[in-house]
Amino acid sequence: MLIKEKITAIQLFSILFISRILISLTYAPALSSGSFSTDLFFTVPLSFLIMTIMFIPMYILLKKHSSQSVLDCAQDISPVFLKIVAILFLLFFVYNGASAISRFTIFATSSLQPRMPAVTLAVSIVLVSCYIAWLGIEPLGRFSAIMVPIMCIGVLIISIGVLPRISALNFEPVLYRGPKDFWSNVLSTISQTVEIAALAILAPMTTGKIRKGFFLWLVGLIIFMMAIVFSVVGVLGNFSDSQLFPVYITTVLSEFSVIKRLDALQTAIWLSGVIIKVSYLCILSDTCFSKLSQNKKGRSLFFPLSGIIILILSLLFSKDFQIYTQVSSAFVGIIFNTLLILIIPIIILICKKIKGRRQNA
Amino acid sequence: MKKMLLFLLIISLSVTFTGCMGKEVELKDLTVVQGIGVDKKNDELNISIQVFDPAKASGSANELSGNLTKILHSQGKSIYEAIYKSAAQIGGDPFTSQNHIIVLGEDLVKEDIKGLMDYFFRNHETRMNVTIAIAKGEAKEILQSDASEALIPAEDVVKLIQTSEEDLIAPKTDVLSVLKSMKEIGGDFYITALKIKEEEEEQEQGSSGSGGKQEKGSGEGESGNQEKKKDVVTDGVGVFKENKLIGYLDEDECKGLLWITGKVSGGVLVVQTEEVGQISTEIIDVVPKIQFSLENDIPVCSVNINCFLSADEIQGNKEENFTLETLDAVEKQIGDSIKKKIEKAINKCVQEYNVDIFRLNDYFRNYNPGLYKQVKDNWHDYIKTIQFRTDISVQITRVGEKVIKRNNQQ
Repeated sequence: MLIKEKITAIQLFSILFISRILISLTYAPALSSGSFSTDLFFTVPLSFLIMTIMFIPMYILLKKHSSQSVLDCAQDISPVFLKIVAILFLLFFVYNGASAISRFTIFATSSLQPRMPAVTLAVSIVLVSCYIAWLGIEPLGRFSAIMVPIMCIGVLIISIGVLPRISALNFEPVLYRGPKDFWSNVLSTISQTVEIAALAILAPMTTGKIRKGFFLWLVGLIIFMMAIVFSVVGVLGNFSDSQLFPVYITTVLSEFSVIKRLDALQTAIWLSGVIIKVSYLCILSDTCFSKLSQNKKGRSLFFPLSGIIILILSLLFSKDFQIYTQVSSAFVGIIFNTLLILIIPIIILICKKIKGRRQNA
Repeated sequence: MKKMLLFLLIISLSVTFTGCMGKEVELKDLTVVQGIGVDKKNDELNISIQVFDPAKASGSANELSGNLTKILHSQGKSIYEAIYKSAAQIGGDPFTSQNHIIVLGEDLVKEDIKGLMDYFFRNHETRMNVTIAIAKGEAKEILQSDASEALIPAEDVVKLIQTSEEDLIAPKTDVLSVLKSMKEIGGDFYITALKIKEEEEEQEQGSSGSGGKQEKGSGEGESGNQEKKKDVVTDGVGVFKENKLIGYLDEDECKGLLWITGKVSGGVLVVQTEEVGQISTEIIDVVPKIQFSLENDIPVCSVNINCFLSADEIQGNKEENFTLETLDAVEKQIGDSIKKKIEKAINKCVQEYNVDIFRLNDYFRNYNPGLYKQVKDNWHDYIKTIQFRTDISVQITRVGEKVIKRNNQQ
């Protein structure tokens, strides 16, 4: 399905931008290992710098084999290696999809309405996402490109609305909480970034300048995340540690003139972000399934299977806080990210080099 | 076929995804809470909730007048239980998202209110920007006062508190500021205090009164055709230490508190000066700055405020003395007046009550994080050693539309 479809670099990075800002907007310090503090002004750029460095082997790989995804490259090495790589990518994608849905259902049943049926909500999100996945990456790319400015304007409105509540006293000195907290925030930011791994599969389906798009994506993300950190820390200070969803609480307080109750806007942004994220993760999981099943037809229909797995996992994750806290720990994300965006591309590059030398010899 | 499917989809979505998700009740079946009053009675919480009464609001917009709310009372072991009990009296689900104000009774706040505040922190319907106040007396009296002929009296009380802050009378406090202080400083904070002011007013023969009269206090029907009107007024702030009320700040001290905490952005200053008599000025801009320093290991807190004013009214017979030459002296006297209020507030809070309601801990933490970590646990002892230096710079940048003369021009 994906091989034939092409999206522009703007569309690709729009999808990835929404996917990543969703994590920032829904950041739950209590459910992950980070915290909302002034340190984030430094940890966010540092995390993205580290990820950019980690991305270098994959970038070299994608540049050398511009028409191939990491899965195609793995296939060139050996069918077994392909299966291992495809399974790892598949696990990471379904895990992130499930994590996004479960976080939304936890939010909906904690902050919106405890009596809301979480199962119905999760099923609705998965159904809509599967439908978008069935439409393909092209419509999703177009939709995301439209949604990015809408989301940015929405967040800008919310940020303006909280400006009168921002107090300089809420900003602690950098490293006030110690280096452990600082590095926890770095690891937490890296661990929650699925987008670079997604790029390993989506890049060959893209036309346009990926490198330029990647840097614009990074800069846009850093600016966006800084605005969120500035608003949340400026308004809540260290009180944000005791909040399940600090960004949401900040939007509840946001108001200007007659415009109030901007939390509705944030909920809308959150929901559309979850749908976009789960949709593209379904498409990516579908690609992994296709590779695993050696499906060489133009169109595969594994995305309902991906949707079902994501749904089951999300219901399992959101069952109670303890489970979600464990599965959303930075450790899981770091392991996956290191494997997928650093180790696997390096292995592929080395194997391809050895293979090339052997062929030359 | 596609159009038919789309049509069916739109119909099914509009039926299944309607508003008020989860409540599944009509607006008229909800008990929309506008104000919550909490008192203590026999080890139980006595809750008074002001709720929107749809029956009173059933007319057209032009017909709406008077109070559209009614007061419900109940008791419970927790706020949540008591609110549910109150709402059950009229057979509706309580809906607290539209709540405007929380009033806590004086007896209640003399004890630790940290546990009490948990409901407003944890419950998904309550909002942290809701105004919070304490009652000098019972909270229920505030809710059932004749605040005004407002449609929603609780909303009117919030406006009163807001205006009090703008007029430099008393600061407004909300749930978030209280909860943050409970966490950050360990229970030092302030809450706006409200009291009932009884005023005798002529009762017109045959007047029917506004809705909700049956709930009003004992003042009705006294002394012939006069009745005592119960108005809500702000009366300083209540000061809390370790989450318990330990005292109050009067109006002058509240003004000092407002200046220090940077909550002054406008308002009127009326000062009696030697040179020109009583001068009323409007505050145009205020730039406050609080800085810490250490002098021989003694913490020094410098409170510097730059205040820009516009002279709007001069009363008395010395108006002709208001010249460019006397301007400095007038400015100095206004500055001294502000300084006195600030020092009064500092003395009362730091020396007398030994509390830090000015967030001095945050200023000190940002000045010297290392030292702050050392003294944090004994912060209340430490603040007693702080030397305060207040420097107020007042500039009258506008003098109204009347020409200001030099002395030699007279």
